[in-house]
Amino acid sequence: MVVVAVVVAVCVIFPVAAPFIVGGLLIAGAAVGIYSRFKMYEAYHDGNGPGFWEGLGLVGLGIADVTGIPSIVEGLVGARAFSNGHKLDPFDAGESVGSGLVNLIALIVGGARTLRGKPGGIDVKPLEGLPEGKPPEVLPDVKPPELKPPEGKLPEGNPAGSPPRAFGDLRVRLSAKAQEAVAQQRQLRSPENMQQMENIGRNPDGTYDVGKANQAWERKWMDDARFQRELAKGVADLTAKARGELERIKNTCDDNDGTNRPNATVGDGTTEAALVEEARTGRPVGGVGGHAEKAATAIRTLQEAVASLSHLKSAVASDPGVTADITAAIARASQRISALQGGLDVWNNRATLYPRIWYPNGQVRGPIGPVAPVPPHQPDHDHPDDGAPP
Amino acid sequence: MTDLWRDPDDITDDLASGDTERIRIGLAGLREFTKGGDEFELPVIDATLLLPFGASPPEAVVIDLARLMARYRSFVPQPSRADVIRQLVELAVRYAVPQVIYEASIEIQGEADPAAAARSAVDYLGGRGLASPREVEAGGKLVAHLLEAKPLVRRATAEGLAAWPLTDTRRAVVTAVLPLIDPDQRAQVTSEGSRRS
Repeated sequence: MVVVAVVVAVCVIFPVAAPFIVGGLLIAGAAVGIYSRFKMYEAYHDGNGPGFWEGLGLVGLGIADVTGIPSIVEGLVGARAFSNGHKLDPFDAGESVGSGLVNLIALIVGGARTLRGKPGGIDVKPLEGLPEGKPPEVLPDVKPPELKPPEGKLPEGNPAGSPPRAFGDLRVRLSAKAQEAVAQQRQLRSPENMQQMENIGRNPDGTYDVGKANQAWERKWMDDARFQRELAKGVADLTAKARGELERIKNTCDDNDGTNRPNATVGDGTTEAALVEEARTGRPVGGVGGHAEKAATAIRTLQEAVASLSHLKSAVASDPGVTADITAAIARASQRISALQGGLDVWNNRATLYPRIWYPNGQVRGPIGPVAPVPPHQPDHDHPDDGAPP
Repeated sequence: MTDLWRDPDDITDDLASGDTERIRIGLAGLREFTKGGDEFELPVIDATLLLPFGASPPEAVVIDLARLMARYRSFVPQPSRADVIRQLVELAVRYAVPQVIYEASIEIQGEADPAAAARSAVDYLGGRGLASPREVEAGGKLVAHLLEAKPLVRRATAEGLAAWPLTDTRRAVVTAVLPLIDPDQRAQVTSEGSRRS
């Protein structure tokens, strides 16, 4: 992009230099194009290089890339040449058409300047201070091939030579391998994570460090086998994760709502009922204290599972069974959280609610604390059968 | 998304760094990254990750690691569920974080065969031993949670406890949880004759 901008600008300002610059850059552009085509081919074929005829085709394409026409065609078709079945996503396809058009227009403008340069053009004197006979220097800011794919386009609002600020502008300055990595991650990651990943290589001032970003994205590139493996995990993995959270909610609720101890007699057999009883009497329910800690940890476990399911719900929306299970589980967990919190509120206010049992600092006035280990023969208030199984 | 977000490659490096601050940041970043279900291939980690923190890592770090080990499905190589449960039990008793102890018991109850998983966990504790009062208390809490689970888990837990070597540790734990044990198993657990060599 920068190169194209500089070419146009120089051709406009110094028409005499146009033939040399345009000619030199056409050759350089063709070389870069060929190089990029071969690198892209390797990326699409697990690092394997092309055969003879394919190589010949890549050379032709690389040269033709100077015109931008292959990019336009590939964008319209929705796939790169020799891409081994990989499709371009709509963003990439549009970008390919756009960058191809920019290349084509730049070539036409530059070509026209070149043709008009001497015969019908204006007389041009040598530049002051420029030794006669010395050919114009090729632009010094031509990027190395690995950082400058041939599909570069003029970034909107990005002056030539300045670091890119928009991810789209950065992306066209990445190597083919890094660009492929971007496309892979776009398919694998949630929109939220992808949005964050687009900040990779961004400086504090909002511009991108192209080299740093390129290095980071190239590190993310996956060979086809690994990419396909990660892609295949997709929805099945998310569904399995959702089922894990459902199981967590079920077991946590069963553990606290009396399901596991159907014969319990304190209140309705729930953890919060035991907690209220401990606050009221100062005695551990069931012979073992710690219901306050259990209630607090269960609440946090349920909250974590609910948050996780809320995030996963949209990702598994294609499975109505799982979606219904998630809705029901979240409802059950929310009810449980509310009930447990009610018990904790009583416990936390025990000194105020039951001042005859508790000191103001929350210590029990009796000799046995509800959270302390208890002797083995403590009466089992929680179970009329003294803990016998149902 | 928050400023806890970390790039996957940075997270991988953080967790391999051996540096406590980077491990803390890496675990928090991984929690943030996986919120929506995203995962990436990550070298397998276990309770030893927290060794650089010494005896008492921040509770949030222990909780992050425990939840990661319990839920993450893209470790390379993928550990077996038995390994995962064992690591959770290890984390629970080593650092005695109540949240981790409770969630270890919930993970055990969520296994395909929860009774076998409970027995395996209690056996692991018996073989491992509990080295300090803090570990004894943590081990006792875990056993207590399992004794409040469904009958099959409860009974398997008591059977496992009965197989512990007859030490002061066993006596302390049994004393703390005895009311939760089904009456017909109490004699088995308190019996001096159940010493294991």
